Amino acid sequence: MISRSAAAEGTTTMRVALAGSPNVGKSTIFNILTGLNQRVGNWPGKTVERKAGTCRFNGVSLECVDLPGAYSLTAHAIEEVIARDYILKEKPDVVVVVVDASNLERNLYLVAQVLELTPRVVVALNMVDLASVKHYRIFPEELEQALGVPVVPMVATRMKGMPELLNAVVGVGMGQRHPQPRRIDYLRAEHTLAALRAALGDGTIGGYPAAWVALKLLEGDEEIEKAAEEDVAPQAMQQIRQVLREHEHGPAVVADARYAWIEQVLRSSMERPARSVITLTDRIDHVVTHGLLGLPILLGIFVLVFWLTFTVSSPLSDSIGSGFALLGAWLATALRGAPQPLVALLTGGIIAGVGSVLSFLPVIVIFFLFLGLLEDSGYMARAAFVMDRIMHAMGLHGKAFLSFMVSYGCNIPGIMAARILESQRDRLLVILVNPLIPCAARIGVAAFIVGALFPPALRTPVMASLYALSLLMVIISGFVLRRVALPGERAPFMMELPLYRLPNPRTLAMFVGYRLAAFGRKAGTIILAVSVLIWLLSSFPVGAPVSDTYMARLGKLLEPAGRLAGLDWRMTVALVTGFSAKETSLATLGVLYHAEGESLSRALRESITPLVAFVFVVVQMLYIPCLASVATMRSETQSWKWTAIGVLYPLLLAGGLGILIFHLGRAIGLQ
Amino acid sequence: MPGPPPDGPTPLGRLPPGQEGVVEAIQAGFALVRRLAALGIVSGTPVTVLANTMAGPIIVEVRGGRLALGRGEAMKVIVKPIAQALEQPEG
Repeated sequence: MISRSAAAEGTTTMRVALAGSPNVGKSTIFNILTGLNQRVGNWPGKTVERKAGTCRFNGVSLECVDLPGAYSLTAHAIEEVIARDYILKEKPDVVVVVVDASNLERNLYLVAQVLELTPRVVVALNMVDLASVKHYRIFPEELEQALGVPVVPMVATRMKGMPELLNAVVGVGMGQRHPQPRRIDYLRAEHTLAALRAALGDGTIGGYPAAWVALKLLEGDEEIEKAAEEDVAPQAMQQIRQVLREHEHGPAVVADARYAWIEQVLRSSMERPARSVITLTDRIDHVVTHGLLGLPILLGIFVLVFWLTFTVSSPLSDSIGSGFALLGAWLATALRGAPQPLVALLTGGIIAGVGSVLSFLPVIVIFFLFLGLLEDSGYMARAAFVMDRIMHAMGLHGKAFLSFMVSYGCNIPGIMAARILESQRDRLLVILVNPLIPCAARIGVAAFIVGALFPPALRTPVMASLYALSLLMVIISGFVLRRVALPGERAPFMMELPLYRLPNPRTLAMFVGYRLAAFGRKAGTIILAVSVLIWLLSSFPVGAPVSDTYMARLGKLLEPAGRLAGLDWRMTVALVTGFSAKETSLATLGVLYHAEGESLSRALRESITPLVAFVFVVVQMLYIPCLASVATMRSETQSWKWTAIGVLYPLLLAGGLGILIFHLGRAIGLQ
Repeated sequence: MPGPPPDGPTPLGRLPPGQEGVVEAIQAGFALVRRLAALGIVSGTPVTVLANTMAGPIIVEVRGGRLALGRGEAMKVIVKPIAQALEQPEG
């Protein structure tokens, strides 16, 4: 909440929409405006996030909606359709268009398109500090004059310009200021547009104003064509088709006109050097996007990130683990008088279960912190560029790599990150191979088992071979799925490379918090429930030895399947419970072996061979996405069929691979 | 390997790093034309190639911003190279 006026609760309410391209600081502004008063959901029927919130300023209540980030308002991406439909159909009182001052010329393209929809616009000229890096001089007052709508210079990450922005928004919303946007002259197209408008008549077409429909028809907009076909008389439609046939360069002519308009706007309001200055960004890019050096540098950065993550987090994880152990012990003594099964459920089930999950928290926080640093500094866009050629093998482009990277922390936000891809097919492919990427939890389980069964000198090579194996499976699966299940042309790769900058703590916190929330919800709900269930299954019938509990009976039922890959019933049960959350595999082994930590290592060494351990680790790394991932897959694909494939495919792959490795290993004499 | 800078209309993807040009035409469907326009590339736009290894994506400077373009997309943008002053771009 920005400000609270001295007056009592005002009754005036206005609706404000925030529009802007990706990377312009729109989310930062939205978060400062609404603070904790946010509602996050999806746009109706779409897997696009919808954020809304309220804020009060000078006694006015502002209902803010964060429109999806978009570079333009054509129909090529669902985000763009949502943004323009909201502005046209929901008719917000004010639309704030956030632009990046250091990339003003390009960003004004979106402003031009928003002004084609409504005059009630305020331009938030963000990142004015970055513009000076490029030696741009921008004159906000002249810009305001030239555009005909209020312009507010700001640096949102440093909270500069917020009150001024709100003032302008309220001014326009209350009707105290009347923006009169500079008209866009469509030059060569004006005549054609007039002909189209004549054919369309007045009024609206599919809820859209006719003048705008004419423009979109000229741009070859498929959505609007469909709307027109439904709403316009066949005769008029024929006339429209005739006009369009004569103007096959429609999209180019309209775009030209908008850029000509931008040029006029900038003539008086911006000065920039005739030749662009060599910036720090140029120097860094020269190295990190280098044809030969780019890939080794990227690999080096990510090896360092993984190494740092596990090094820094391991003492923290250990102390969380022992903290919960202490809590359990303390509770056991404190509740000495209470009924025994209840105490056992509390300490052995709930506390031990949640504790083992929460001990993965440091890994995830630290990993996402590093990932956030790479993202906010601008490097991740370069990583996508460098990986584009490799992603090509799967028929994907560089942006897909960004979703994969997130999955190394946790697959849930990784699957959701597939949204950055424009093509529906690409999203599906990324979601389907996503479970093959081991999240921090699976790597944690693997590291424990590898640590228990392999001598120190072999541990790093074994772990590295696991990462390599999973990467190989991702690439092969992507290649095969693309050809078998999801054929189609590669979507175009085009991506902005932002200027490098120092990461901002606020943005970083947002990045980590958002991804952590997904993990936290899962720890609090699914994992808690399953921990209790596992405890129940392994504690009943009361008084039975471990090998005779319900859990053991289940394991023995499944044992024949596990045997194929050399796994005994305990390991098989651990895989089954791992479906709830990979972290619980270890907890299950702990229960079944009646051991924890160091004693579990010893117990494992006594009962399984390194070969079996390796098979187990490979299978648990690839076999099935966890329950929460499956739920995320379902909500992101909106399809049970693809969700089923996303579960069965890795299961069969991991099973087959486990059997293969076990028998190959035996054949060459490994134990 | 980058050969000598071409002088006639050439696909953007064939220009060596440091080469400037002006977009002449975009040989693609409406959808790609609109998307390129949204990122600043229309006929008549001056562009400078910043990175191009002649395989994989390229980086271009357009309207003061930098853009990564896939090889396929870069080959559909036809540019007229600008004869360069003698001074080499840094790097």
